[in-house]
Amino acid sequence: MTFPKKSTNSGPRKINRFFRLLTGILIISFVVSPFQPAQAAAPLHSLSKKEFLRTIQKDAFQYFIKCSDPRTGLTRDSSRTGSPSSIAATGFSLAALCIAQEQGWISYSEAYGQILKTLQTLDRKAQHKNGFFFHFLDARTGRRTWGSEASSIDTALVLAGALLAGEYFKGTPVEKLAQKIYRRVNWKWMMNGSDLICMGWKPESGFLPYYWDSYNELIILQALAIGSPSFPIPSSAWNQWDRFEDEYNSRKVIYSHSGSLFTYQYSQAFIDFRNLDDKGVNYFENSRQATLANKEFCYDNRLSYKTYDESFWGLSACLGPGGYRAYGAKPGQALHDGTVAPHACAASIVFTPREVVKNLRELVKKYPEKVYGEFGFRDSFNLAKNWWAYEYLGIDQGIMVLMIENYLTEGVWNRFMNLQPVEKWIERCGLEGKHPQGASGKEIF
Amino acid sequence: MKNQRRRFLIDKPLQFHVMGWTFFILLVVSTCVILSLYFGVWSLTLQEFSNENIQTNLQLASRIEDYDAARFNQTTAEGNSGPRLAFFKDTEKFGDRQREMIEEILEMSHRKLIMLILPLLALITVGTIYLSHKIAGPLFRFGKSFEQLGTKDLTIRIRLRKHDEAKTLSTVFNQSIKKLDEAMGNIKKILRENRDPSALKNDLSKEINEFRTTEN
Repeated sequence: MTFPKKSTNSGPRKINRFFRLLTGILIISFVVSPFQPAQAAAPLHSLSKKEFLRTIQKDAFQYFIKCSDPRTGLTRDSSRTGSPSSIAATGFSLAALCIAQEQGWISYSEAYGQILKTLQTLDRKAQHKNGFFFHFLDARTGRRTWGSEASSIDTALVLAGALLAGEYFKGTPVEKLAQKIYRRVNWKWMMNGSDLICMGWKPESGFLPYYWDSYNELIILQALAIGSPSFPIPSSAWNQWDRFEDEYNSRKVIYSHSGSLFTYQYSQAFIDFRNLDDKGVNYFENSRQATLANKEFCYDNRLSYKTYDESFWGLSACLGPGGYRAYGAKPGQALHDGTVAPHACAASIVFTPREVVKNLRELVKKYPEKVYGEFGFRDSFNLAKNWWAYEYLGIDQGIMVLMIENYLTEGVWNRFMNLQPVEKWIERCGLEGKHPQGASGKEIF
Repeated sequence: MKNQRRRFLIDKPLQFHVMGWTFFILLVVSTCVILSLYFGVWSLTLQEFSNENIQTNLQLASRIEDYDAARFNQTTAEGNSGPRLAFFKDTEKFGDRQREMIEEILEMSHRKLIMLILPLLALITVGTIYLSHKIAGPLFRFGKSFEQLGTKDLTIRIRLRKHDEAKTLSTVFNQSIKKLDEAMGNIKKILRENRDPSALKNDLSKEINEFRTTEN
């Protein structure tokens, strides 16, 4: 009889059968899983305010990963094929990488490596004149391209990004290299013997006939030039540029010529003006009033333009149906044709958070496919002309990333205000008020 | 002139063989170089002037023009003096004209290439004859010398021309023949001078034993 023998083997056989069954189930579920409907992600507009802003910020950051040259770290001006690298976009990229590392979107070593590579390119390869980088560079070689000028404002923006990276990676070669690139800049030379800083210089024709002579994004340029440890310009330069004041809907604003939102944002992406007083003027409050005026200007023109009629706002330099334009509102030149830039609205988050979030939520709710893509909000749109930009610009992506970070954590402001050149500029220009010492990177939202 | 050869074809089968190979190798190498350069350069040029690239570059030029206009406060909503988007609708025509120009340049360069290839072929032919001559000349001389050696003539010496190949070989050959000549001369001298058979045997064996031969 084989009975006893059979009974002894039945245990392992059962276990064997069980494992076979389990393996079968696992294989079938693995094969079938892609065909099962995935649990639908919550629509962007329905996310909590913080999640909503973080998603926009994270998506915008992806631009700098995808559109930066892997060999040089230089960031392309736009997502368009063949676009050269822009030195200002590279500055925003340096800042965005620091934020991404802190948020855990990329690792420390990844961010550090990319930033160091970019700074090495700026130090050794990128073409410059007396430290001033040319506006557009070949992303692969770092050579000047498109006959661009050695640009003062774009150099200031890349330096702001580099110095900020130095603060994030304090005590490392990143900090040393950032300082080296900053100290190399001969700011006095760019004044061309005048009281103001020239906009640029070309090898073929010398200094451009344009100077930074009135309020706009020039503050970051003035701050770095006055605070320079190597070639500082006289502090009197701070009082040389015009501060034209005008009103719109009883809102007093020291306005920029174009009235574009970006002119009220770029300097304040790095500099915290909330507690700085320039002879009775607070530029943070000024930007807040300008942003509200921009929104009201759109509303007041709602009968003429469909975009404004649907309550969308945000007039700033961006792509339009006829090309790139310095759109803006009053006070200022107020060039507009119903084209609105979502990035300009998003970057106003520190000034008018309630209005910004409402506008952006409404946008992604109504036109999710058309306004939002791979890198977050596309550059611009015009409803009356049914025109949608499918392109992204590096500087527009960067300003969103930085401003949202300032709104959520004050991370950029806290670090940038700790820089010695910034302290020196505040002191030399007699700007009153002290920057509150907040804990860097701590969520304040 | 001394050592001047009067004929270029000294050893026809050998020279034709060498010429054939040299010509073939030179032709293959130069064809490869010309073709790779030709297609490398032109493919890049044609790529640069493709409709797509022209359009991209024109649009980028317009964008940069727009940036300048926006920065230096020269913009209006309709546009400025720079190229506008409407202009790019004509890009295709522009591209066609560019291609016409490229075709003209291509045609010209083809003609020039043919004009270049003919003298190149002639140059290769002359070069192979010259090369074969430089190789075949010495080989011919060596052959003749060995023939002469076969007739037991040890007075032969090879004298090559100034720029001929195998100079070292001819020097070694001449030195060896000279030693053989001297040894044979010595033997002859012993035979002439020795009358005593035992001394003759001794002297001859001493001289002959210096030769190493297959048969002892």
